[in-house]
Amino acid sequence: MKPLILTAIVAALVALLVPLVADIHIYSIAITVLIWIMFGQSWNLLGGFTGQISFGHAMFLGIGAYTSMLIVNSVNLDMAVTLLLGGLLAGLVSLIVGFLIFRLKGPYFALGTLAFAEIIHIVARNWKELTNGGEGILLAKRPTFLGFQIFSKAEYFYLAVFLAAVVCLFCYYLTRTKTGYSFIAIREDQESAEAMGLNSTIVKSKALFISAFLAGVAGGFYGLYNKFIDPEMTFAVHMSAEMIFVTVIGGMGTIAGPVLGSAILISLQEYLKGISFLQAYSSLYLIVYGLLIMLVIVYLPGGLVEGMKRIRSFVGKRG
Amino acid sequence: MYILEVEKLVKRYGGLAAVNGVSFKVKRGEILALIGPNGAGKTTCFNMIAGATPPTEGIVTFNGKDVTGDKPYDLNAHGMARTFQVVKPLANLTVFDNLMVACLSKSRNIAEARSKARAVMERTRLGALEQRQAGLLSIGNLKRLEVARALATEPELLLMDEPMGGLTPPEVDQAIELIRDINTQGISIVLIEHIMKAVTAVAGSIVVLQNGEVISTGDPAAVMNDERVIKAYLGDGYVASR
Repeated sequence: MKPLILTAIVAALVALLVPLVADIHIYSIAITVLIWIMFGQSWNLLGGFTGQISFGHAMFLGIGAYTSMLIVNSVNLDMAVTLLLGGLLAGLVSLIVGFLIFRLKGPYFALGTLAFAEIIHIVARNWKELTNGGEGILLAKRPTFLGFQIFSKAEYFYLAVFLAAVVCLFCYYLTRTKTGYSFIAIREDQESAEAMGLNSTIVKSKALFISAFLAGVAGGFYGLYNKFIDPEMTFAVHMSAEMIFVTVIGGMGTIAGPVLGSAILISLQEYLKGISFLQAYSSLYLIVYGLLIMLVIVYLPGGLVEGMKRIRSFVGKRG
Repeated sequence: MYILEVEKLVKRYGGLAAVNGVSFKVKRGEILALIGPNGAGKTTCFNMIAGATPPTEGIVTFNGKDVTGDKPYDLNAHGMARTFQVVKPLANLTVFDNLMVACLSKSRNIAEARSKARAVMERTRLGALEQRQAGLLSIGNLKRLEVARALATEPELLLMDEPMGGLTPPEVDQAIELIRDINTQGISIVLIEHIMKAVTAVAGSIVVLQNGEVISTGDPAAVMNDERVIKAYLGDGYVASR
């Protein structure tokens, strides 16, 4: 089936079925899953398709979130413009970051992104005039998207379905262009790709820019949906780590990966949080969560996408 | 007249000169073979010409232009392509996608790259392996893919680093045929190769390296009878006993 049609059908089903059973809690889980699908796709473009592992993607998320929040609170532009601006600013910052750290390779690149994200995190905590520091910023106005008011959970839910579908399709079609091929070539073998005429610095900068742009857009949406942001929930390293988790568990370098990864991991988190004997200690569920992630990494290094392929071929052989 | 001129190329690693003042010229349309015992500095020479590592001293001129220290992708854009001694396929991609990548930089869009990739695939007889994952190919096919990928970038000069290493005798014959075929289409070739049968079959001239220096150059017959070359390969004792 054509990916465009498949995505449209899945998105339509989600948009129709979830509201039938949804209370506020289910809406918030669904929206969180959809947001993490966007973050996962963003990280996957750079990490999964271009092979550049970033531990600092929270910086792009945070820049998008703060930009969107500040724009809505001050001039309340339409979200279509606001999110775009947040993404563009994240993209611009990524060009500077890339210029400075693309001379690093492999683990050193990963550590470089981590260091950069932490620097921006500290700046955000202390630049009170802009970010209001640790006290955070509350959403003060009712935003709109293409003229529609977006304020209730249901409204955010429909917008999230739309944005997540657009991001997934964008990533899918991007990987089938010249640019997409060059990303994959760099991942497979940089020296070889250069010998075939690809300027690795330019290719990697493009990947980082697009990836940061998507993280910025998704970050903007995330901030507005939460109606409140502070540096801990945007720039902190656990946000970067979660982006890696949803992608790696789902399947790196695949479009379905972040979708499956987010759906399973976020639901699992919520489920574990709800189990009463785990509630005795507030972070106990994270231990169980961590163990499950380890199991997947050990037994399914290709992620859930690979697991599904294995099941399919197993069933195929028996049938 | 000359497509490639290498002048007094030097590469030092600390106190060791891996390549020490190597000069040679490649005529447009010719096949020049670079031979020499292991560790003579052949691949280091190649890496300096192809931009993979900058020379300590010396000048590389390609098509009359000084390209010393230029990056591989710039050289590739100007018409120089290479293959690697230790093959470097894009292992998780299919044979066809490997060629697609190679066609990209000189194509305007995907459709153009696709038709070019198909043409190269037919030319190098990789058609049957189109959808095979490159990382799972046999060494013979991997070497062929290396050549195909280099050709797909539409070069004027092709640098081949041991394209026949590890091949079976029938595969060597096919490779010789392929090299001749490439050359008749007007592509100049610099070839590093240990299999002398192949070298004498295709090369118009030969440069012999030993310990980073050129010890003999000329047409194949003259070089093969040069005492210094025989000594380099077989030792002083062999020459004395003749």
